[in-house]
Amino acid sequence: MKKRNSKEHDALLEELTSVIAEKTEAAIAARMALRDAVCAFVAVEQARGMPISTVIATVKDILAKVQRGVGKVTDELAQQLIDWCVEFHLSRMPTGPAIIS
Amino acid sequence: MALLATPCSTGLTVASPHDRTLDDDLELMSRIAEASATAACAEATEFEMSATIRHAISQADASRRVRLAVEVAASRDAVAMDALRMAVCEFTLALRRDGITPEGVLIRLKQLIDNETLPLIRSHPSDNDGHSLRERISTWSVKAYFDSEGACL
Repeated sequence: MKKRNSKEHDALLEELTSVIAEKTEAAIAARMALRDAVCAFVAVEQARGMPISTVIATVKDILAKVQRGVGKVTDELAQQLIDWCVEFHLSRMPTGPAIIS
Repeated sequence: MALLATPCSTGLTVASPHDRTLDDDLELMSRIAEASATAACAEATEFEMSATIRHAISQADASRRVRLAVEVAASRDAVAMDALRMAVCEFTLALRRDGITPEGVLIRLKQLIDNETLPLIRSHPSDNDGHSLRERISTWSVKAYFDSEGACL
């Protein structure tokens, strides 16, 4: 294993470490904002009497639209958003969880 | 004759002012009361309909606004995730150039993420304590490490 110990190299690693920490924080903040937006969307649509299946379909549509615009949204994100929707929906049901089609 | 009008019923005919009797007057009063009640009902119905329409418009507007918020948030999320992917990639390639093994890179990454930032995501159960993000970061790193081109695209 070759190992460079120059100050320049250390500074580069330190900078990369700082950047990765900063970007992780930003990504987490963005993901939380997305979660909150999705939960608000679920709440509003529930108040309008929309079934959760329709809400999920709409969220998928929104993601598809974003995917076209940015091209980096993955299936994992879609699944996570849907999980948020379902979880939020279930937590608001007075009689507890039920079958969601 | 009772003066109680049927709520929200319709129909009013006014008798000629000639040859009125007491019964006619009572009849007229009854009809006026009935008409008054009908008008009040119509007003109330109109108000209820108006309130219903206003409520529907308000809900539709709220739906449109939160949908827009989701769109904006999803776009920002995608951009932020991509920026993180790039940072992970640059970090990985720098360590690879330094001769660090893939396992060594992952250990450094996990230490960094666990120690500094990932606990922030733990406020929501569906995030599974940031497990999915950790997995994603590891995947990015491994891909970057073994990418023959060595470029973070």
